Amino acid sequence: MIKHLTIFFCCFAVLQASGQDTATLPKKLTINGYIKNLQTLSFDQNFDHLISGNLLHNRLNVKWKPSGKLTAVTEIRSRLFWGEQVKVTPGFAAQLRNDNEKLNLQQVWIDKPSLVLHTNVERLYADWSNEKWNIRLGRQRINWGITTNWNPNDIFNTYNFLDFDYEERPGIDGAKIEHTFSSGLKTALAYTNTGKKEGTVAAIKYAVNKWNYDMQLITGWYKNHPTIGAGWAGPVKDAGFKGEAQYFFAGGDSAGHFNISLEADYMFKKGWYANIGVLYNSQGLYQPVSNWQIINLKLSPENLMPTKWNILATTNKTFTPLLSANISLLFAPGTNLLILFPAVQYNLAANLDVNLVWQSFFVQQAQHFEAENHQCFLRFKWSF
Amino acid sequence: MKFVLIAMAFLFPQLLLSQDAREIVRKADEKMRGNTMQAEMIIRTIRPTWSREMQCKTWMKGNNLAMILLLSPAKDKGIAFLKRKKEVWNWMPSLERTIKLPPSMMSQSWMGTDFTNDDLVKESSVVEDYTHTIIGDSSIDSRSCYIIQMIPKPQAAVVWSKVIICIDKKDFLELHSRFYDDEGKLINTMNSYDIKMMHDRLIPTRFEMIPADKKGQKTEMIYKNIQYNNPIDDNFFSTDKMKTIN
Repeated sequence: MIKHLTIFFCCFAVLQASGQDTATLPKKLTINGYIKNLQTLSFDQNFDHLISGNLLHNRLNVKWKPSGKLTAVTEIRSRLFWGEQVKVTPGFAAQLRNDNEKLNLQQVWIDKPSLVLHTNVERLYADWSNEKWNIRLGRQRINWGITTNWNPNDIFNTYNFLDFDYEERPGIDGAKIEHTFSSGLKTALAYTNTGKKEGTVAAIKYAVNKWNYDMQLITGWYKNHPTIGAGWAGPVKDAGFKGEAQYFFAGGDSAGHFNISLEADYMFKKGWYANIGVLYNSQGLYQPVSNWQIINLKLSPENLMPTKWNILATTNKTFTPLLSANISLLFAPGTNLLILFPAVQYNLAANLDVNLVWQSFFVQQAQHFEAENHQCFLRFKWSF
Repeated sequence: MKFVLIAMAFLFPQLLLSQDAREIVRKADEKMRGNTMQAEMIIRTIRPTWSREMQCKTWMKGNNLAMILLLSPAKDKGIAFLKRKKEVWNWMPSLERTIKLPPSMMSQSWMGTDFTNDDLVKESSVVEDYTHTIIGDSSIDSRSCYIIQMIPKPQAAVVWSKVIICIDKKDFLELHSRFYDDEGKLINTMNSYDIKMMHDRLIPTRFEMIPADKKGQKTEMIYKNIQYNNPIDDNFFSTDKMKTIN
């Protein structure tokens, strides 16, 4: 870990030397982050068995801006898990590693049967930018997604939409260069290597804003096959209309396949917001599954959901500036998977928030449609 | 030509009056906003049992370009909003993501305050989108004011059916406004206070937005500092800038 940090700061020193001409601004260091406490209760289908989990979670974001053009960022995430959830999950600490990261910048400080303390350097990059160019080198998140729920265009670093406690989402080790032409056309070139065999992802993005629409085209190489995609966001009357599609050409042992996500949102009067989205995964499941344990639920940019058709409806209501609630309902026809996902947020004090979140999973089993499990989360978050 | 104008003034006094009203509103609007405006302000949401405060920086150029950056509270620091003509984007630094907002978001509350998105980034123009008429005189804090009625033009994207504003006759300061809904019901009242010299002009620096039917509830907006007419390039109002500004 120390060796990698040294390399990073050497690279940064070189970049800084090249940015000296504008170093007239005062040095500026900003530090922020949060401490969260998350209590988890996991029930089985009939609420007969309960497993509880506890997590104390700290994120520390440090940003140093020695000049107007140069920025260095590091963000460190530390988590202390304890309780039954750790105990009953074999190899709990080993599962905390982000597989997309090539460099091992994590540290497991404590690994006991019911107590794990884990730290990961989530971001570590140097960024140089002027009016036309932006270059970012190091551990970062390359976020090419446009829609809210599922992002087929997010081919560098996908995430699980149910993991509400990981707002920042995982990153990758790589580089990104962006250029804005005077016509308004934006291009971006990004590269990452996960360190695994056939683990390279490289792509170019072209983006324009025209006719009140943000539009993008993506073409590149994903692991062992070429890929091409497109995305957009704009209005249809007063509603928002967004979409993303990504096609992966045949390569290795896989045939050509694709993901498409379509989404509409609208803000109604009195603080009601509604969003409805559809995801189609051409490789997804479309038959009732008798045993979900044997299905590969590992999500990737190629596999944003294990199921073929997915419909997600979300509504959010702000009751007062302090209190809001939302409910999401996901249904996957074919497998008849249903996820119910309500949540309530309350701002207890200027920097203290509490969230109560529920997730219930129901599936078609043989002839029955039944509950699979239920999870309840209570989270306190103090931001600084 | 002169005679024609005089004749018209006699024949159509209402027309001249409305021209005057429009000119008064234009002057007040120009005074408050300048050609460009950079400001730092505090927005305080006040309710009977609690209050919250946020600080932000704003940049505006005409009616079409605006940017807002939140400085506090800690959890919202770095969140930014960009408006270019009819389009609005929101930058969420924790998600490292730009979200394009649906147009229907404009008429709704901004960050839970009593201000709408439109109040902050001024999608509608108080000069272009309304028909203005002087309907009387009044006095606010010993300043003599015109009372002007503003009715939105049919095609204008305005949420109100009528706005009544009081503008100081001497310094063209908007001191009081009332906003009415489709049914003619009073929805919000805005009062202006603390008239001070800011940069090169005299303006009110504290505004109170009071919802009509909610007792003990209001939102205050206080300008800490304002710079007028500093040149801001159109390219400043870009989604790239929104991510890096601070």
